[in-house]
Amino acid sequence: MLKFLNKVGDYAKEAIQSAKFIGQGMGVTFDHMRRRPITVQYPYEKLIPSERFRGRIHFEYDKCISCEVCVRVCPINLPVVDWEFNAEIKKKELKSYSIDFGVCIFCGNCVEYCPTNALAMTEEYDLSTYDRHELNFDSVALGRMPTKVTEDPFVTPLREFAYLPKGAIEPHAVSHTERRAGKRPEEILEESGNIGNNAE
Amino acid sequence: MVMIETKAERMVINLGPHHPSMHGVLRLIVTLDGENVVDCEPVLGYLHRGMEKIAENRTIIQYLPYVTRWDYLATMFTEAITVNAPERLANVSVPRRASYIRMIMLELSRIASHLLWLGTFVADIGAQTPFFYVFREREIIYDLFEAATGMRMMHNYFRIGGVAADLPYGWVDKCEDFCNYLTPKIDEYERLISNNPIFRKRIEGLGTIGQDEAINWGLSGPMLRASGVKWDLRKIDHYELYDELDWEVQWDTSGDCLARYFVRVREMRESAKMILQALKALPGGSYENLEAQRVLAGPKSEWNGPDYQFISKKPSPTFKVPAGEHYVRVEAPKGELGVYLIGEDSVFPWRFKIRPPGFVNLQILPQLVRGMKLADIMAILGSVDIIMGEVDR
Amino acid sequence: MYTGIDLQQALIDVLMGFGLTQGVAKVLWMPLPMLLVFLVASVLALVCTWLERKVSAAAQQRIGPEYMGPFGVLVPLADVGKLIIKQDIIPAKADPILFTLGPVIVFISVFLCYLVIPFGQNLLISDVGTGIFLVIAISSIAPIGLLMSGYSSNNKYALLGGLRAAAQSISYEIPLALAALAIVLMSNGLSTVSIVNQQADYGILSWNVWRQPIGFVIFLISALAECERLPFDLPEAEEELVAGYQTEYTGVKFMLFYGSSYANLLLAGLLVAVLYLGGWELPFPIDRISDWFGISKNTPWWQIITASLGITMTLLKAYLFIFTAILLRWTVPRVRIDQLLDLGWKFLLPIGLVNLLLTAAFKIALPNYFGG
Repeated sequence: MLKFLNKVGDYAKEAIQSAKFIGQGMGVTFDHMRRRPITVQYPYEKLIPSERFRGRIHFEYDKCISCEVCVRVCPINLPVVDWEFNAEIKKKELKSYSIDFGVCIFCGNCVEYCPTNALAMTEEYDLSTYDRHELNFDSVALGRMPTKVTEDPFVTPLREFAYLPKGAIEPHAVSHTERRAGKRPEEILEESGNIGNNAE
Repeated sequence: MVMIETKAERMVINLGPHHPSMHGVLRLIVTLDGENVVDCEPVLGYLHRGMEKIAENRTIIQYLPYVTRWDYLATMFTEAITVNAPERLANVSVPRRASYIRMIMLELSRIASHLLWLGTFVADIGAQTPFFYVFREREIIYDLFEAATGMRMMHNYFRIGGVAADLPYGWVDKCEDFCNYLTPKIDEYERLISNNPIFRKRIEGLGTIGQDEAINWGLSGPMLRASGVKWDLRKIDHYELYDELDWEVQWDTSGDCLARYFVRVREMRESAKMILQALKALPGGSYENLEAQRVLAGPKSEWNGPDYQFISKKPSPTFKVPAGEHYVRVEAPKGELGVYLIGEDSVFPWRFKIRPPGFVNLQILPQLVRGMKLADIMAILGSVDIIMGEVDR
Repeated sequence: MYTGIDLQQALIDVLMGFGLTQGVAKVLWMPLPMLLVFLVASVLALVCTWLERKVSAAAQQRIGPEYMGPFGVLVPLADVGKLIIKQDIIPAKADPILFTLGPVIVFISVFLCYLVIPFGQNLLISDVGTGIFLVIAISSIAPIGLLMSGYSSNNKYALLGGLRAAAQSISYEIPLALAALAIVLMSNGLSTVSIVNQQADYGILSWNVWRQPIGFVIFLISALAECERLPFDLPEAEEELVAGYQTEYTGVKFMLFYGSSYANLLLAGLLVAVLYLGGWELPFPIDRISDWFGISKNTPWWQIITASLGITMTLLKAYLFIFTAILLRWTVPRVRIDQLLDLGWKFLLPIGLVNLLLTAAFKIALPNYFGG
């Protein structure tokens, strides 16, 4: 009988323990209910793409020397470089240049290896169209500048985590005037002066 | 006592390739006896893209953007291995700063991968909420990646001899913020999940793999470490500069799903710790500091020395993979990610064999689920942590 | 005994004033409360779906529905609209009759239970003498519908889901009934009204939660299991069975399932309120207030106030349960089928029996407190 009661006691203890831990878990979820939603309400709020963001590629016609490095470093040799050798000036003359963004994977190799920096990444990422052929950009379309998130009056721009001030986690709570993380050169110099003195 | 024996006809049920709980496009043909699993046969190949064959007619530079599509949740590791293999074959040295940047990126990627694993694993058992919490943290990691590499998942950041670019302005500070922010969040997950009696009941003692068994099946990563084998390639292969950091291999002895859960959670904590150390020890400090010192000390200063570069020499588009063959591996979050590379002094590798951890770890699944309940398939599969992108390649 | 507001008598009086006989007046009256309760129950169930969305969103640091009406309250209506105009698909190899009958049976059985749910002394369709027993009996019909739809879908996931639903409902019906039985024992009647009245004497102190803590817990767990909500949502466990018995359903038939699952949740909430939280009673006896102010209980405006307070209190208590259920759903993982049956048969059933025994013993020993 005693054994049975002990067993019942253990069982009850286990049940209470379980209830405690489930309550603990519910405490966590309940606590989240009072926290600010972290979601970015996309068409109304947009994150500002980072400086290195690899969006649609921008192409400057006049800078291109038709060397075709972009084609050779591209995983699928995507850029179409149409040129003709001009015998008079003994130079290649670019006739047309195009990249099909329906196929491009935005790896950035062409931009990285372009010897004249004719290619550059923009911050444009919303490229959807109704017809995939519209994504085949020629040199004119490639030369257009994208619209900036920060200049759109209908959009609240939000900074990404890496651009928030030190210590800030959530972009909603940060004022747009606040300085991003990282020290200014003069501050570093001031500090390193001290460090230099210490070292000596 | 006479028992009435009811023998129902076995039911063959098809889980996947389209099924809400399937990780990617894995297909499991499960034979059920009521709720009990009699047999389970995984069918692979729905995401096969011929990654190894593609590598054979691409230069390393051209191939790098592809590799993040193997394991698209631990992207930095795939890049690391693709870069490490020709690097070692060609004896290219990596500057200390670059190596540190690589380590920071790899550990961040490990945290991201484990975080997502945690979310899907717990969602496989039925709790949906941690999935959202996990994405909140993962989002921050991807923001950091975006700032440094230009893309959130498909980074294309590692280069032969270093990385593509130095860390951006202010990045080190924010990365530190993240690591300090992550640990309390992991505590919170543990409060929510670890002691939950339902979670414990579902997971404890489930899918147990013994030590010998784990080794014999060729398991690696948390799967192996949870079975009581203290095997971590970061300690064993001494690659990058992991030896300079103070850290412990996380392991467990029980070998069940719960042990794998704990190993991964602890690895996340350990990685956060390692990143903090690496950020402190980063040669030259943050980018803004390095730049300021360079300007201050002039062009011939030590700040322009080889240790402070982010890349030793920018690889030419026609980097030649030297003749020779070897096997290189890294400790990816899922396990040992290796590449067997055969070069023939040409811009294209002759053979580029990938050893994905998920593929090898998945083999043990049918054996683990046999005799379990239907619901356990999901729990065990979740604890194996597979990504079909790398299983099928 | 004070009866509170009596709409039926009032309306019949009015109609008789037009020169109708009492019989005709009663017939005219009869469909009104049914329609009203049906509509109210549907609306309240829709509110549950909205609440589910909002609470889950808040628990996950999201916003949830925002742009459809203020705070997204019109989302349920949009759901209903969408599901009504959606094409009704019956799979080619399904059994069309059973396939249609399944959701209908589930829907009817759930809504039939609202017959005896009281919102006030006389604010219920019918004060059937078998009250709570009727609810338990009728709600047992629902698994037949689930099994039917699971079987007729000709889909293995649906079949497994249907079987799980049947097994689960059967095993949790018993502890549910045992917990309710202990209450019945205390209130000396099966009628829901008498159960509430028995808790009315001392406000919050006389509610059954204090006298039946074990029964309360058993009832909560079994009610969750009966509603097929996490941690007991095995019949529709998404990770294993896609959507269980509702896998093949779309359009109106899916809406019947969806609606009845939330109506069932609401029903469970209302039952918890009635059985354990004093039904329409306020935390303090409202009669005292009327006595203090010297208001006659039969003053019409006072009757209206008490009636609306009663409805509010019932709903408040029910939604408290629903909120807990929703939060629990987004906190805990799902149990496995054998653990579910273990919990039902090896834990809740014995404890339910012990609870019943204890209640009976206390009733004899302390008749003043346990309704001798």
